[in-house]
Amino acid sequence: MAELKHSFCRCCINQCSINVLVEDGRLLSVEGNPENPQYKGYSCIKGRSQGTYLADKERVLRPLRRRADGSHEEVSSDLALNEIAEKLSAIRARYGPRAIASYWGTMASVGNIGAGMPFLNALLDAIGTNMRFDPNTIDKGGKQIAQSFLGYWGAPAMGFDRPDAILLIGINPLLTYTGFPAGSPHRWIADLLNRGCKLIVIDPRESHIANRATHYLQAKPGHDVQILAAFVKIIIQEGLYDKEFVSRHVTGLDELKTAVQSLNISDVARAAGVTAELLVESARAYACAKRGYAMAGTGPNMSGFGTLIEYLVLVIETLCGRWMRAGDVLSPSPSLLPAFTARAEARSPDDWALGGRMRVRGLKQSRAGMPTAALAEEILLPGDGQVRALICWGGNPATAFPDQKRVVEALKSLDLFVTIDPLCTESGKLAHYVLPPAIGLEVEAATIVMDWLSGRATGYGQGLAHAQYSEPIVRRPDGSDLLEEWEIFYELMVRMGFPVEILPLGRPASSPKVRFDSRPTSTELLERLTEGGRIPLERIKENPGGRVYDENLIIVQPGDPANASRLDVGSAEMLRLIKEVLAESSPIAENDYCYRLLCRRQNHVYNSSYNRDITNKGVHYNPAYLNPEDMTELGAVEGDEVLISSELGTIRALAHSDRHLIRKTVSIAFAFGRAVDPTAEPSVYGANPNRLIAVDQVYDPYTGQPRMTNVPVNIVKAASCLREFGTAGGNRRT
Amino acid sequence: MLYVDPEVCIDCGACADVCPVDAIVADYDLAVKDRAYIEINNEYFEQPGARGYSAKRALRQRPAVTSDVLRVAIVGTGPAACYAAQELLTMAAEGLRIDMFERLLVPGGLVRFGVAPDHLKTKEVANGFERIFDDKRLKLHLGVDVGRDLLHADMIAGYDAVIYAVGMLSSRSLGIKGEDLRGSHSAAEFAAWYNGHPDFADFSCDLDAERAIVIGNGNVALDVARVLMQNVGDLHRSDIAEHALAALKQSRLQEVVVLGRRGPLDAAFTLPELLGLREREDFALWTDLPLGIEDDPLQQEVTALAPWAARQKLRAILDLPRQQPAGRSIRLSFLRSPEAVIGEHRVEGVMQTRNALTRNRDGKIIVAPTGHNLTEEAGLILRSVGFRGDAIAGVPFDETRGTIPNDGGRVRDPTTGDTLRGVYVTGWIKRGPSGVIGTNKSCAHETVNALLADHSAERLGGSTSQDQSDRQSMTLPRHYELADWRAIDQHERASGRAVGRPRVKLVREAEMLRAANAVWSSSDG
Repeated sequence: MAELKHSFCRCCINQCSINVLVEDGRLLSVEGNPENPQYKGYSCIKGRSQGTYLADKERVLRPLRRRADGSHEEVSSDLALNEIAEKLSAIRARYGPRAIASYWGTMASVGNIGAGMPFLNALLDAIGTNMRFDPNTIDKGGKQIAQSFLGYWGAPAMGFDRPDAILLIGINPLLTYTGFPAGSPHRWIADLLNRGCKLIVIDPRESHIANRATHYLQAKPGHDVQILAAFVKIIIQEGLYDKEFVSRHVTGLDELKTAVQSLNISDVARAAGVTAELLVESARAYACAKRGYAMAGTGPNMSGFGTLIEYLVLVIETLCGRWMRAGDVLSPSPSLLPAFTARAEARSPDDWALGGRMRVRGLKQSRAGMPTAALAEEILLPGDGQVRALICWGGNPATAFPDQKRVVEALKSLDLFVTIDPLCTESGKLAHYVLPPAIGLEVEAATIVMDWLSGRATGYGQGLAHAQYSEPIVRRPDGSDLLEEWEIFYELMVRMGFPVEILPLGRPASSPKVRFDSRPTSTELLERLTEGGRIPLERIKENPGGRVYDENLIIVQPGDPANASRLDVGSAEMLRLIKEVLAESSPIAENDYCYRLLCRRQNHVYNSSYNRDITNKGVHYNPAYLNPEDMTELGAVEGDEVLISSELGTIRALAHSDRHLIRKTVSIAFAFGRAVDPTAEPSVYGANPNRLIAVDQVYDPYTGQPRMTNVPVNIVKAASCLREFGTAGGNRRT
Repeated sequence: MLYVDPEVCIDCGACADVCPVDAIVADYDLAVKDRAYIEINNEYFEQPGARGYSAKRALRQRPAVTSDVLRVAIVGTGPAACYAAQELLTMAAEGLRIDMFERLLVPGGLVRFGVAPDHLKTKEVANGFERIFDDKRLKLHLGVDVGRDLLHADMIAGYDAVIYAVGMLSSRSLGIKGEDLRGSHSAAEFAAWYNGHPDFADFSCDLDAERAIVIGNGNVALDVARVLMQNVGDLHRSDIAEHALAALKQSRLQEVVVLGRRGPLDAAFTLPELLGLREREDFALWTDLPLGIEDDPLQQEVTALAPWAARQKLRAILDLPRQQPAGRSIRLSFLRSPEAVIGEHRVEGVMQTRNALTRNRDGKIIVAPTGHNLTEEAGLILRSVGFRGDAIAGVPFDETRGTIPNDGGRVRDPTTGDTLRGVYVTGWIKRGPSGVIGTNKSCAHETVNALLADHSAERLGGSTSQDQSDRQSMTLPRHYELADWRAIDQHERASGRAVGRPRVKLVREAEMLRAANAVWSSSDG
């Protein structure tokens, strides 16, 4: 008999509360949970389709080992783990710990990261390597570096708490599920707008969120620094900043004022293709609001100036006093993780760089992580410390990293390449081992990651102190040999002869490690991971449909009156960069490449994961979206093949029109296509813009993040057009 | 039209995902020409009681998934049949076997032969149906006429359950003089002709006239009127049959009159269809309603009492020009009953009686003839006053309604009142010719639920092993299969690509068989 169960979705970082119909451990259907106070019934097409992912015929159900001819054979997890542990030990002994690198990608962040991450960190700690890569430095890496230059506020930003104005730069929270709190992003912004909240959006594409904006600046790509500097100038010049906050907690205002003094607002507006009036109105609307927050997305962070843009965002936030004050209540206080002390006081800037060093381009490990875009160079550069092994958890470097050609070459050269992934992805095809984890509703879990995200930076996580626990409610497929992700790392530590000592998420680095002398059950582990949480796990288990635990929320404490630290809005290094950018009269003319490639997301996929018939409705590929007039100019109609070229290479893609784009831009989602066969039919596999992205030309000097958007490209219509429209059989994915 | 409450919608997209024809669009994705719908949708919820729905609902309860052996025959391959197959495939597991029967060599029913050729978006529903055909538990049998090649008794003997989803092929008649004159056709035949239905391959339609009159004003009437009036160049981009395209190129028609017996409040077409026509640039839309009709006290009284949707429609009709514009046009004519089709050897016009609102003896406002007649010339008459099904030998049939009598999908014998074991209906033949394509989904849901409930309760025959082995031995007549259809489909698309059309439909069986064989002989299979 079918049974209705509560759970929460693990398809992305929104973690929607869901109602699931199961029978004999088999998933029948998924719907949002209308009774849940945070999600109110919201779910998306990916989450509702998750039965398909669990039962996917392409899902890897037993570990795979690569044969000499490149094909894979199934082996037991015991054998695979033994062999991997042995090879890791040998590489470590021969080349040193630095020869072992790790990468975790999006599919790790949406798996059971609360359990897996502490074990991965413990494994890497035990190995002794800091070659730890993650998507942050090819996504929105500027945030943490910028914070180093500004300094830190001892309490969170106002963030999602009753904003009167929101400033979004190159981000569409209606699709990314960042930038707005967990729940229905549409409903949240609709309610705020009804209450008079101002929504200021800066984006070259009139995205869905731009369509909702009260102030929409459809600026040409590559003008974010100038526009935000103009915001700063207007705010200072018109005295719109929070004078009390600035005088008490901020330094560097005079230097900042000088740096933006020569800026001509009309020139900035004209160059960006917006009106000066709207630019000024937008700055005023944001600064005059009592509460609010600003968030920059992948657009500006992929521009090559991520750190500088994020610094300007933090400067605007600081000038406007968008930090929580003494007595404010932290609505999204962590529930499963421990409460922390929030203090209304500044802490001085610190060094953005951490201990790790790359051997290429002088790049460093930073508070944003290791420079992921440089990993391929690092692997391919012979010499001491060369990376020989890569443990890849839930990531797909072969399609997700820029400069795909070099990345594939690097991955092929590794002595040991392990992917932990439910599918044999394009990276998996190159891997020596593919370890399939139990996923989603098969796994016992709690919403630890939401607590963790909410403390990460402005614009992440949830707006309420919501928590939910879920037992495993779907049976693993018959005949499968799956481990949970944390179990894989646990077993590797044991087999490599290391003690298992982890630091659960949400605890300071100085806290004692949690030691395991034998492998815990998932239930026992969850108890250890949530020890000392603000709300006992037992209570959270009592509310299987999820609940907001709004008693004893964290209250911001007054700062120490003797504290002399200040937030620095006049960082010499950042101001020097600003002056350099502003001094450039116009972006470098790149005439051969008259289009600009822009990044975008699609709702039915998470980056490029979950691309199935049921979600893509027969369109398996990532269209290259163009302004209709550009389509006409190219002589292309919907679905025609076009060739997009940059200095680095050419890709085949299918053109679709999008009236929301400004002219001479092409916007296309990343990480589609095939890695080893890049000319594969684009109507089946899609195209990968990462083949067009050079990592060592224009890049952020701190994170190493290359220019991945606003990339100069050329477009021509492909000569022959023997492509079939539509899908006759829906059988075209092979 | 479906209304989504903007105050409550969380924009999760669940409704848009399940809409097979992408008819539900978020406000920010609406094309500029469709922005009017935002206001219509908002206004709907301003009516008192419009928010009286339950905002919260639990997951749909489904009957238990069954893994037993269950052999089902579905007769028909149109939307009703496909939705029934889809429901069954989701709810039953490995033991399910579906045989789907189609009289023609191409599946699709109304999607291929009823949906207007220029409504390509609507036809996308077929993509979903194609995926059903790929399911290993389903076999498609093309070119098998149940009633001729196989009898109802064969079906009963061969399957645990049979679902008739045969739709309605015949048209209701007007019962007036001259109806059968040359140049007078049913709109259904005419639509089947331009959609390339093999049964109408030899149908000939004379468009050498200035005016056509469509009798009846449902959506089918507006469809045929639009096809007659629109730019042939635009039709080139549709999947209209080549023979129809050639005929329409020669057309002299300047005006199509869409005739309704009752007033504008009772127009049978839906608002979106009307708005779609209003936006056209290749012809004008107007109405010959008198200028003062808004001020007529009887009209005002009925308007006040009319449901909201009818009032919306009335407003849109009254917004139309009341004067004949220059160039090609469609005229909406109301309050006129056809009395006779005039003509000697072929149609020359329609004699009509003017109707008006009047109060009957009980004080109720009704539509009644005024006694004033008029005759309008026309060289083409298309009758669009409804469809009816055809009886299948051995299956009960309601002659008045033209449907198969049933209780929630279980076929009922009207003489005894009992339901027949293992015999089900879905779609038009079950509920009559109403609703849009998607309506068949809930219709099929009800039928399949009944079928599965009967199966769980062991009310279906064939539970004994003797029955089962008898069933497996049943031989099917010669037929064609999915691969043949795919070959035809490929051929049609390839021919279309060569001339810049979505597809060029094959109309004659011989051509279809050639296409199927050609592809087979040129490939390894």
